[in-house]
Amino acid sequence: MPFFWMSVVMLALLAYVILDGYDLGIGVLTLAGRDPDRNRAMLEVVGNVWDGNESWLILLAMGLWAGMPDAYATALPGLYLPLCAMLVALVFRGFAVEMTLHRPGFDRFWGRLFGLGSLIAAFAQGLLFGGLLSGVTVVGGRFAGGTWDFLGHGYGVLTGCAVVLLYAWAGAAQLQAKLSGAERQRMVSLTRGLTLAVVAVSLPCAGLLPVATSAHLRLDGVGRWLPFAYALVIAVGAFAIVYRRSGRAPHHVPFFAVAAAETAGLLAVVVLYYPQLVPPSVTLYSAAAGPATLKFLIVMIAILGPVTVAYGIYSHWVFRAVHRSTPEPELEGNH
Amino acid sequence: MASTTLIDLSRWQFATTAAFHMTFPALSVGLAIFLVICYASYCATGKPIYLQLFRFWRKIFAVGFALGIVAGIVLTFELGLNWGNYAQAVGPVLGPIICLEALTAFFLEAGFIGILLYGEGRVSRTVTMVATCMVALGALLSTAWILSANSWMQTPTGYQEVGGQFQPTDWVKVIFNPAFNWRFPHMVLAVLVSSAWFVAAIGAYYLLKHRFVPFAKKTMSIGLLAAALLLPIQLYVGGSTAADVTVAYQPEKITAAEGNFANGNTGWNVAVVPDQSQQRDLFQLAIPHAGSVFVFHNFSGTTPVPGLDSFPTANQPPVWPTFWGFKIMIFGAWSMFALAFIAVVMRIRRRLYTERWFLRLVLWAMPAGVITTIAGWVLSETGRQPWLVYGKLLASDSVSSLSSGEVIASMVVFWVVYLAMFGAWIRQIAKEVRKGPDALPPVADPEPAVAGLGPVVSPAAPSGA
Repeated sequence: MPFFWMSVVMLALLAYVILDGYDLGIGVLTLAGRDPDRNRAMLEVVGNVWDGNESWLILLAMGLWAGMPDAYATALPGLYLPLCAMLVALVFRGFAVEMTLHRPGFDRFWGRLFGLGSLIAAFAQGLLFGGLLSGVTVVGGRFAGGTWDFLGHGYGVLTGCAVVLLYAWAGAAQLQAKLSGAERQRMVSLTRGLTLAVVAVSLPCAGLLPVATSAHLRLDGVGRWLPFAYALVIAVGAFAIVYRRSGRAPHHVPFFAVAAAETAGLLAVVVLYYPQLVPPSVTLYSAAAGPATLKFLIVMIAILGPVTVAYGIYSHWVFRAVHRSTPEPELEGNH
Repeated sequence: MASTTLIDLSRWQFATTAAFHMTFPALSVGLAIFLVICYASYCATGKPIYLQLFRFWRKIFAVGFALGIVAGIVLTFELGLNWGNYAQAVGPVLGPIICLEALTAFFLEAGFIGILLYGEGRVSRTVTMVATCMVALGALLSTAWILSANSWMQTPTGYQEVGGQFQPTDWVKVIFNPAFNWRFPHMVLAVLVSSAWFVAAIGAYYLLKHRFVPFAKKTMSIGLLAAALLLPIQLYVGGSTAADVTVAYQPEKITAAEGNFANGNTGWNVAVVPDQSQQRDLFQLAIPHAGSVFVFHNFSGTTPVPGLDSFPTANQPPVWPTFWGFKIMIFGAWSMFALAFIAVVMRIRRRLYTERWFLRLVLWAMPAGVITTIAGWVLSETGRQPWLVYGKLLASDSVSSLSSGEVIASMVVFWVVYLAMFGAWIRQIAKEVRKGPDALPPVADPEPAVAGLGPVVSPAAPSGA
């Protein structure tokens, strides 16, 4: 049962990285854009999905809390500063999205705050990821490390930059499907450039991981190396597809390939670390809540999960169209 | 054992970020239901004024709703960030409840808010109506789950303790714990009343300025009607919450809320200045004998209200916030009830929209519901101290082993960002209010079925915005 619930939590993490990843990435990309019209178009792509995408973050956190309370109780204090930075950034970014949407064009103050918040949140998530992978000091079931441990001797900074690039890449790929004409063409070349950048930053992240971490990375047994090999193949294939299929119809293919690459990356990490949850000492099984809790959670997710996914898809489908200015056709406005 | 500085800093961070968060749901839950009423009236009658109401209040709702979401994410993480040992102990019981909140409420709201805000013109009217209802339903479900989790911390039931961790034994008892059954309706009424005053006040503002008059009348009428209908029920439910939950389960809280240190006072304290270290009140203003009547329903007025000195100092909640949270809630509720009563009289005498002193009172009552709601939460949360889970888990055993510097740094950043955002939110609402509702559509309806209603042009002058 702990394994099953962990899979649900990992799916929430994956959904969060794929979905909020692209909308944070779009925010990062607006920082580089000087054309208010284009930035406005990019913002409106984010406008009606960001809160739904962030729901996955809550599900991820609460799923971990409910199912693996010891992991939640040790990882969060261990990663205090980057988590607070991420939260503050998500707060003012979400507010800035609404404030910019309520103003014509791309408001200079709120628009830039939206971009900045996206950048800080993405970088902080990279710090969190690096900090968690490099290990959290836990003694007697409680966090016992220092304030700056999350930096992992600088490994966290590297993963921070990697996540910013990864999200920007996902954002550019998504914008290919959402924008048209010359704007789409700009995103195509941007996606290609970012593909190379993401590859370039992933290699040192992967290479330095064994040095940076206090965890035991394992690839023994077919149960580990086979999925790991699959993950590598999928990642390489996904990078190639993003690079080669960018700019060709159907335009949503590159984004799906980005999502596949993110899935492969997460799979590879899980295979290396399993069963460590808050490396090195808290494992999936040591952290798990009792059977009464897990049974309740699994029954609930079995009932509610499909319904949730169904209307989430419906909501995306309503806004599936290529970007156009917000229609309020019946309005005879004096605004 | 963590240092008292760290515990107090962690408390302050949680209290202030929670109060900031609470401001927005206090309005947006009620506004979501108000939007349902407006759009349902529009669908049923086809009158464009309801569409105008719907669109105006949707704009006000949207920004506050977004702030409520993001500020709520912060709280879910703070449970683990600052209160790691609490998170470890209660995770198996409370974690699934908040998981259910995410699954049933947050995804529901997030899935349909886009359609509610931006869907007009892309989806049919029925879908807009369904989306509006789903957002309101999500908001209500979210209130239910949060109240269930918080009430479990007030009156824990349906669990066993295994190695310092709470393990659920009966989910029905966990979710429908004794405090929940009164506190949930109490909270729903509180947020409805809060938004009713908010809505009515903006109507009163336009009436005072002679702008958008038909819109303003409709707005204020609905708001005041809701307040007049709900407040008597709320006074009853609030009284029952105090009697059946607080008096029955948490004697320290009700004692601190009454503000007596010594036994023997039969009066009802209107105001006190407590000095907890000396275990006495420096100043006490009381209505004689009323304490017996209010607390014990003893109309001879002779039963003394118990004092805090019957509890060890270590188990006493802080009197300042508990007492004043309680009094502000009570005075707020009575004032709102009085104003709603005046409104009913005014309506019967057909002076509701014209008496300027009354309109000014309604305008000033704008934040009354929100302030009263937050005061109620101050009472319920500080009155539970020093416990996090009443009688079972102390705050001092719950705190994460962080350095005080970390908590100060995060708290200062949260405060600066929150204050700035609160200011920007108020300015945004003021801007939307000054601009006023968009003019009524010349042809009432985009759908041909009702398009024969003919042109209805807003009598309001262009706002110049």
